[in-house]
Amino acid sequence: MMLCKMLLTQGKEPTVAMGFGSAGEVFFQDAFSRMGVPVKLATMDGSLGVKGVVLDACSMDSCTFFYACGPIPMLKAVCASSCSDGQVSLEERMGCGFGACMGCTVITHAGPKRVCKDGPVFEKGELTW
Amino acid sequence: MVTTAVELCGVPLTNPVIAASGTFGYGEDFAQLYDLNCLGSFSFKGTTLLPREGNPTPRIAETPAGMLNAVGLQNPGVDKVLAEEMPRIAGYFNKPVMANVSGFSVDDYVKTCEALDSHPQIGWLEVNISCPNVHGGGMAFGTSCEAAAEVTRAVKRVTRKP
Repeated sequence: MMLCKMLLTQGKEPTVAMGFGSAGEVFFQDAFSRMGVPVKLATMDGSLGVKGVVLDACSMDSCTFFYACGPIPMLKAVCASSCSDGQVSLEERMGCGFGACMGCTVITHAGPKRVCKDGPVFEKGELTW
Repeated sequence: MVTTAVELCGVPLTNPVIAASGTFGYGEDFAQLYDLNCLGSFSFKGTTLLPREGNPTPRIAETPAGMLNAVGLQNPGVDKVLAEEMPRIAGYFNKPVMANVSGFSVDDYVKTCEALDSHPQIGWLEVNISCPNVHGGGMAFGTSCEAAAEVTRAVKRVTRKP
């Protein structure tokens, strides 16, 4: 939400794409719509929006940059299907959350990095996916 | 005023609180939050002879009774610890620090402890014998009294540190 507001302030034209299990789980659709940005929605059971995953609701071909958060398999799919650069916000289970335990490590082209301390946001090109 | 000072193997500690190895990295992340000198000491991240990237990810799993972790001894190796981490530690911690050592053969432990022995700020060597012995069928050194004694004996020959 904050990111979307910031992009609008900068004069950019963001599109929001969201994926959920079913209509009952959907949140923030109205809030994004009120901001005047196009909202593309997918639900796994087809009860609202396009039936399928978030990538079924939006074409990554037309975007110039993307920001994504969510489960790792989805993030991998987004990175694989997008020809543009982008950033992903990673979620990993954390032991300490202070950068000391190396439990939330993710492997990057520059070696292991800690999601809690070096992330959680990484450039698409940094990751070894 | 109560004094909490104690001695550990002849090395004085202003208090008996020692942050455990593996929970504390090399201290730097916590030195940004508070003065580490309020601790008695800390045991730094398990250090091996050669650098290790650690286990593949994910490394933490939730279980019904808590969590399991398998970090796999990610560390920069003893040479880099001495060249880079120890000077950094000296910048935020002014007491003896405990060096936690891991290895996969007796020779690994010996060479790592030999290298750490020369550093004046390392007060103690803490030898992690839960590692698999690659020359002993993969059983952890600590599962056999003979193997544990062999590592301890070999390490004591190359260091005067407790």
